Amino acid sequence: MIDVTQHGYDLADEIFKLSIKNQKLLFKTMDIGHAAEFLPYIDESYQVQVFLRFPVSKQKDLISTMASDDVIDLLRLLPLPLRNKLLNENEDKEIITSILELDEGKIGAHVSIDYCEVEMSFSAKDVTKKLIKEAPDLDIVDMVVIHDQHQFKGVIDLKTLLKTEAHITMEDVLHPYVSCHEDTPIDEAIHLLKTTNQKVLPILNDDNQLLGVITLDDALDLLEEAAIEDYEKMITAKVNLNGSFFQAALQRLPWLVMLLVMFIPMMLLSHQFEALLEKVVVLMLFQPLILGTAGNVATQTLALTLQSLSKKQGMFKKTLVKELMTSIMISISMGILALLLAYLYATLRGFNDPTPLTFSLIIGLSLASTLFFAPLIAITIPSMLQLLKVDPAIASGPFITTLIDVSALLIYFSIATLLLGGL
Amino acid sequence: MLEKNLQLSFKKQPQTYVDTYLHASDHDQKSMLNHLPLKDLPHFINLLDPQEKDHAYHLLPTIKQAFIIKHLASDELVEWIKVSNNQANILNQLDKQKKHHIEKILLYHDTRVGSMMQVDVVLILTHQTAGQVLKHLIHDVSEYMYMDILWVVDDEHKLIGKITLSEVLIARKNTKIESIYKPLTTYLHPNDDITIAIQKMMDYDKEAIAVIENDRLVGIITSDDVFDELIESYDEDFQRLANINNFDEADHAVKRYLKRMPWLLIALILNTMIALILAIFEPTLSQVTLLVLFQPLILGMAGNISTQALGVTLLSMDEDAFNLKKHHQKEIRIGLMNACLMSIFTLLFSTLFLVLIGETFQQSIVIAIQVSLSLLIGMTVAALIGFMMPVILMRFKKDPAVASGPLITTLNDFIGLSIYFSIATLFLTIL
Repeated sequence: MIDVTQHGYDLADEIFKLSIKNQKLLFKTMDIGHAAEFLPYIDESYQVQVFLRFPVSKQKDLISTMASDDVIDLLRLLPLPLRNKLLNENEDKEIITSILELDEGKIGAHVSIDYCEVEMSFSAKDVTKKLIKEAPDLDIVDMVVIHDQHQFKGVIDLKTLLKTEAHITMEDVLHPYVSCHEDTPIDEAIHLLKTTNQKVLPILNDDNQLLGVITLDDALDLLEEAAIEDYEKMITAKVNLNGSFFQAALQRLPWLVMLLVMFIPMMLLSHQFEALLEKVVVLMLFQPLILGTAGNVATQTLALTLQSLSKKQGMFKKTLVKELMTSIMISISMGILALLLAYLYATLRGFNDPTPLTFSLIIGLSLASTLFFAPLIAITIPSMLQLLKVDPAIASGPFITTLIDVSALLIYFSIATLLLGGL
Repeated sequence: MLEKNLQLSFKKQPQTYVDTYLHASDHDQKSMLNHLPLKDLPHFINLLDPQEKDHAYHLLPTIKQAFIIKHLASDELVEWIKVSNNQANILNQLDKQKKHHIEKILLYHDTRVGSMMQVDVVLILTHQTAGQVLKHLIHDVSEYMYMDILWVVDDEHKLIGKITLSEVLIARKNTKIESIYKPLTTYLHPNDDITIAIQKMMDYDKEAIAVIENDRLVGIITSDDVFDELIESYDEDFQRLANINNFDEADHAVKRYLKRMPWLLIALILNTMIALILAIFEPTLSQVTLLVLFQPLILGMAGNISTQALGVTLLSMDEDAFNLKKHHQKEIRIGLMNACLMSIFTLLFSTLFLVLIGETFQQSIVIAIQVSLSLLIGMTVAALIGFMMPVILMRFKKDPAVASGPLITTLNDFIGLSIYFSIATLFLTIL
């Protein structure tokens, strides 16, 4: 039997291990409060499935009991008709719907709205009364939001409220409070919250009205999500540490299929040069050197570019100029070294057609040019995407790798054709 | 300039005030500081980073200096004192107990929980009532203490649980704390690594976690404290995977070049040696040139599945309960399953491709079988290498992320090609 009173994180872990049938059985009798505790801890990819295993009669209650930001995350994954059905009769329907319409990349889409709101004219005593009355239905009880005719004025935290004499009005205790607009990018907003030492970051709309707040724990979650997303793009796999092997494997599979399809351009390119390769088979044996080295160098440059793009603009140019200079130095020295090694290789194997000199020139020149162009692509494509306001991290995925591979191959085969006297 | 700055209201636009201050001359900064109402001064100082705090401190008269020191939270103070030129001066302004606390925190190593904990906490007793606790907080406790969460101790001062300030406020005045407090679900030790603190915070409690030594509460870690650490730890994972972990933003181009060359050079030499070994397959290759079309695919897909396994393994190694055996089994199964599925898919895919570029169906299917067989073996091996390498490296106390470097790529390539060419040669002799 499962102890439903344990911490939500541990409870989620245990429930996740149950069979579907047992989950349904447990959910029938489970208290809504405990359900609202554990559900947010279920991995996002299974949250909907688990939620739908609750009896239909309980689903609506669960939605109104869960913390507002968790509700919004869950609803976002549900189909629209079901979403509307669940929100029907919910007192926050309007505001939740409007938050769901916001762009997920902006901070506005991630706010919490369960807090106590008071007018500036309220005295400390009135505020305390209102808070105590509303507290059982609230999620955020360690602060109160202060309005003046629907305009956001500030926030008073519980500690200050406690220390304020009963008759003093909110107007007199207001102190500087940093807020930001709903369209602010997530990382910018989180950075702002971090520098202010505030408990929450109020998020305002165009009319200076409060849409909701970002709490420190929301910010931590957002931060972790963003970091994992970047990481997943780079390893082209979904990180799933808790699910079964079958689920984890299925999550990685679509990436692999896509990566496989991405090889078509390279296969077509090789097909064009089949005659050349048939004649000089040894070129095939050096192909991994060219592609592998270009790939290794480009991955580093790409990661650096993405990191500096996500940081400050000024640093960006300086970093990239340095990066380009490094690439040029690497390309020249690797070219020369490869040339020497290839010459040694050809002599050792007693080549006469192509001559060791021609062969080593092909390898050296190809490596030098690919090592120059690969980082160049890794710098320019993400920067261009940034200018076009597309998330440059898209480029960290398979698209840019394929582009780099295809250009490296094209350079290699073209130089070979050229030096072998146009086959 | 100054006139305009002084018209700015810190109360209305705190962030703008700080930004203007940071760009002002020393003289103007001094005026801006003195222009602030005394009660807003600690708020303002809090918004500055440690170096700027030090600078502002110099510009202030002694009385205001003392006021600030008195009103900063202990973790803020520690962060500042660590880089400050006025260490002794600041420490001497503190009362004896706080000074003792802070000196203790300064002794912990940077990577330990003890170095970042906050010590301004409020302890309450189980037999107190909610009303008594509130009264105590209002009258006896400084408002600069952390009191969103109150820590419940028994008569022997052993920490047994906690309760939020709001719960105390909402409870009826005569309710005993013992009937409403929550027992501890998790805690830390001052010598725990910071990564453990991050993990526990993300999993259990994003508000505050108790730091305990000999059953006594010695401090707390709040979400505020792990923020930077969390950012840093993910940046590190990302950088290690991309092989830029020893990269320094300030490094000159030549230095970057010198850092990257050795690995590339080793890969170059290894690749040439591999080309020498694989030369034995040249007769096969010159007979079946179609094989060349699929060479990048076989190497690439092995590389891809290896990166997936490696990336997930590196990330899970950071988890506090990294279960090697469980992870072991899981990754092997994932690798096997996906290698099988992908090789079936590749069989269809390559047959289709070859037919489309004008090969006969029979020829196409023979090549496709060779490709998908090589892929099956190559991907399975690569997936194993991807998760075994970091585990092995860790056992030998090397940075597991080295596994993402050029050496592994080269090793994967070598294995992949040998399998591919061997299978092709085998087919050639059989058919």
